[in-house]
Order: sequence, then structure tokens, then C-alpha cells
Amino acid sequence: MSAAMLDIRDVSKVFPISRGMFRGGAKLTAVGGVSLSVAPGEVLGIVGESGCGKTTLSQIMLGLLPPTTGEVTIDGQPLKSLGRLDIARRVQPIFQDPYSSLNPRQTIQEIVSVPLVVHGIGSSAERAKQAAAMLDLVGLPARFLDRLPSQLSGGQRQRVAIARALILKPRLLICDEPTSALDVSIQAQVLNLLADLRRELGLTFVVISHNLSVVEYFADRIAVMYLGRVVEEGPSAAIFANPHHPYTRALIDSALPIDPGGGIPELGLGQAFPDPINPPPGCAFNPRCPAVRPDCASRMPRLDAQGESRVACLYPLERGAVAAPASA
Amino acid sequence: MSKPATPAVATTAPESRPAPFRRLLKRIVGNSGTLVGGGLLLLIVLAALLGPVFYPQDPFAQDVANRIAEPFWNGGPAIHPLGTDTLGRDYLARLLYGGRISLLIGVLAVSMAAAIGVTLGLVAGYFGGRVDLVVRFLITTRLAMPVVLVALSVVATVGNSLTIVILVLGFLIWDRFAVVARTTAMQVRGIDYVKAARAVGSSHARIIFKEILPNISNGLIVVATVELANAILLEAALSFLGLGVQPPLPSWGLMIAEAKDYLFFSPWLITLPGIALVLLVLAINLLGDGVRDITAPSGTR
Repeated sequence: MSAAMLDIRDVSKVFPISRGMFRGGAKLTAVGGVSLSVAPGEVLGIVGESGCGKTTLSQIMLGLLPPTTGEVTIDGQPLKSLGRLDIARRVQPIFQDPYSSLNPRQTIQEIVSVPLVVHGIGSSAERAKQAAAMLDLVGLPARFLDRLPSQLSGGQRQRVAIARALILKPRLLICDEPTSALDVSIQAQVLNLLADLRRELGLTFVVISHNLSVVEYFADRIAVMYLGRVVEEGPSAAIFANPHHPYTRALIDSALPIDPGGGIPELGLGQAFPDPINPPPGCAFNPRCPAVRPDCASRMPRLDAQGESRVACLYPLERGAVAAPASA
Repeated sequence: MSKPATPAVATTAPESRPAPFRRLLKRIVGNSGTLVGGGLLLLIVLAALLGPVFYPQDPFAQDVANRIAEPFWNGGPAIHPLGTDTLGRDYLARLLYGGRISLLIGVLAVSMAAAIGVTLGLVAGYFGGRVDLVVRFLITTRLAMPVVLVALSVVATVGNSLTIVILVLGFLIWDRFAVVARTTAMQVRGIDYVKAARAVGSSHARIIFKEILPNISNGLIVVATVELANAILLEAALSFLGLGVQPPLPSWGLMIAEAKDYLFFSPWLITLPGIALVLLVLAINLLGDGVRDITAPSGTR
């Protein structure tokens, strides 16, 4: 993994929380000691429920938030040593909601060519030509150039956002829930577009999603996050076929069955998501874990190799095991 | 950058709507307040700008033989349609010229206030944190200062002139611009297109002026109209108190002040500039309300 496209090592992000004038400030650990690495051309999927630190991690990877500890390297260069424009040329984001990621006051041409203006690339005629070429690449006709975002549908807007992200020719794209805000029929189109672009341009992707089927379709490797930490990480096929962490297992089981009579799956994850300001002691998942054992609340598991994956669980599930409550 | 309005495009577009400009025009025509206010304001501005060109009387020439001449409806001389003031100066000429002064002071003071307030508000709303703390302190400090008292002390120390009045007003009415710019900038700051602009490597200045400012301009335009009316009224009040425009210059507030001794015997002297002032402020306020309604998201009726 020496030639990793993106390498993050021991990255944490702690936000100070103000609780009013007379109580001391609290600390919220949004991301705690995450190490991940993405090879060139690979797609890493990051999954986890809302509030687990996925979006904070994506902001750190984009250089928009400085990590509290740890280091991010892109293409062998530490993010800290790169300037604003250098980072932008290497990594670009695609946001969840195409209704808020495009400035409503700018035409599509302005939106797509802004990166070129900021980086001082080309004359205005060349920029217009490049913008048209980018629209063509993402499957939009050039006549959209003069339109405003309000005249486009959600899927078209997301294509514009992709065109803007690609015009600087970055090698890494960070997609934060790229399809969650779209209609189901449009989701597939956008995913296919991303897959085509990946093949044509040799892009590396980090795809953040709570939607397992999106990640399963798109990702080579998957990292599962829970409360700011990676609890399981490995090849996509292995994770889906043989999840080792009870949380991964529950996430996979939580996907709704296609059979409408199947009902909503019962996961045995009774409690709500824990308060990230006061994380539970030991393994953070222990209050909700269906296979919890007594020492889970006192010992913090490390991310250790388990088969093809790495798992942070004291008692990882074996192949084919069902997440049933342990008979204690 | 013309809008594509050919029917071929409209039929293939996912949602074919009328071009934005036509939609806007429709909204303006549908809003009677805007039409009345805008029309009236246009009339006053044209009269103030072009009136002195076409109306031959000199607003400063004294015709002492014709002091306090009656206006035409009281059978006054035809040479002074709205009569003359206490020094025999033509009243219509002074009204037209005074309109220029009022508009000049209003527009310059509001532009200055907008420049100060919008800059402070944008910077505070965008950066937040300590910058915001400082700007909030400046806003509260400004709100704690009574305009007339500050104007009084400034005029007492440096004397009064047109420039001083404009400067004093400009430095005293920026608070609403700052408050509105700050809150709206805070709302816009967290939206994804601002994050996208940052990720693309845009400088802070570029984000503030290209991404945020265009998206908060609607509210600022409404503030500008309110403050324009406010500035014109303040100027009239300051002039009435003798703290504003200096006497040979005709200002509506000053004309009211000069005419107050003649209220009972020559009421038109005070009524005419009063009506002019009311119409101007009313026109600006109607236009401002109209702009607010038209640009509101639910502005289509």
C-alpha cells in the first residue's frame, strides 16, 4: 500500500461543545483514530448510520476541516503541506443534495467553469468550450449551459455537480451520499454514470452512504463506521458474504426485503444511537450489541485482521453465524 | 448570456416555464403597490433631475417685491405658479431643487451605509467566531447611539454642510444592513454550494462576493429602500432643526422649518414641501414592500 491514492492515518476530529457560560465545555469526538487507505482506481465505500462521523471524515479528506490528530496523504503528499488550490486539483467532492450544491444565481456554464476561473485556467472562450465538453461527458446537452439550476431536474443537477467536480481533472472523488436525494430511477442512472467515469478516467472514489445497496454495487472495499470509529473494513464481497462485526451484520440485515409481505426486519438493536459526547465504556457498540458479553463494557477492541477483513470486536462472528443473543 | 427561449428547447425541457424575465414582469404588473410606488418615485426623480432644466426660475434669486406671493389657486402671479417664500424666491423652483438635494443625500448616505453595513455583516456572518463577536459589538454600539444627538454633536464640532450631513447619515444608518447581511450570510454559509466553492479552492473574498452576496441581495434591496426613506426623513428632520443643509440651499426639511412661522397666514408654504416629502417617502416604501413581495419565494399569487 505504499502507492496509496489516499491514506489517512490515525485521524481524529474533536469538536469542543459549548454548554453555556457556567458549565465547562464538553468534547465531541466525531472521528476517533481512523486509519484507511485507498489504492489508485479503487472504490472505498464508507457506511454507517447518521451521526457516525462519515461526513466529518469526508470533510477532513477534502481538506475542508483540519484533523485534530493524525495525517491525511493524497498521492503521497501530506494534505497539510499542500495549498488550497493544490488540494482542489487532486480531490473534489460530490454532495448529497443537488438542490443545494448548485448556486441558484449562476448559470450552468458559470457553475461548471468556476473551478477553471479560480485556478486561472484558459481564456473565457476556452473555459466555455471545456464546460461544454464536461457537460457532454456527463451526458447533458450543451444547450443546458445557459440555464439556471432551477430549470433542471434533480438527476440533471447531480450531473452538473459531477461535471463541476471533474473539470479540474482530479484523480480522487469524495461522494457524500451521491444518490440519497434522488428518485430511485435516477439513482441508478447517476451510479452508472459514476461507474462509467471511473472506467474512462481511471478515477479513485470514496463513496459515503447509509445505503448498503449503493455501496455493494459500487465499492471494491467497504469500511463500516460506528460512533466515529471503523469497526470493520475489508473487501466488499467478503463483508457482505461474511460479516464479522455484529453491527455490520445488523446493517446488512436491516436492508428491507424485496418481498412486501416480509415485514420490517427486527434487528435486536433496541436502544437508540448513543450520545457521542458520552460514549459508552469499552466497545462503543456494547449497549446495542445482540451478542454482548460481560467484558465488552470494559475492554476496547482493536481493529485486528480477521480473514480478509479487519474487525474491531472482542468476539467476532464466525462464518454463517447468526447474530443471536449469547446465552449468558 | 441570452436565455434560451426557443419553443424547441422548451418542449424538450423537463419543466417548461416562461423565461425568468417574463415571470418577473408578470409579478411586477400583478403587484399594484410596486406599480404605484415605482411610478410615483420615477415621477419625483424625473421632476427633481429634469425640472430645474425645463423650469426657468432660479431657486436662489430673490424677488423682494413679491415676498410670500400666493400660489396660482389663490390668484397669485403667473410667473410664480406656486408662489414665493419669505425672501421672494420662486417656490416651485425651490421644491424641484430641494428634491434633488433630498434624493442626493438619501442615495449617497444609503450607498455609504450599505457599503459599511453589508461588508461588516457579510464578514461576520461568513467567518463567525471572533469576527462575529467584534461586528456584533459594533452593531450594538451603533444601536446605542441616538442619531439626532450624534448629528448634533458632530455639527456643533465641525460645522454643517451637505458633505457632513451625508457622512453623518452614512455612518449612522448602516446597522440594519449589517444585521440583515449577517443573518442571511450565516444561513447561506452552510449550504453545499459554498462548501463546493471552498473545495474548488475559491478564496474567501470570491466566496463572499460571488457565492453569498448574490444570494442575499433580495433582502438587502428591501433594506436599502427602507433606509432610503429613513435617510430622507432624517435629513429633513436635521435640516428642520438647523443641523442639516445650510440655508441658501433648498431642502424640503429646511423649507418646512422656514415656513413654520407662517403656518396660519400662508399655509401652502409648509404644506407643499410636506406633501412632497410624504409622497417621496410613500413611493419608496411602496416600492420596497413591492420588491419584498415580488422576490419572496411565495411571491406568485
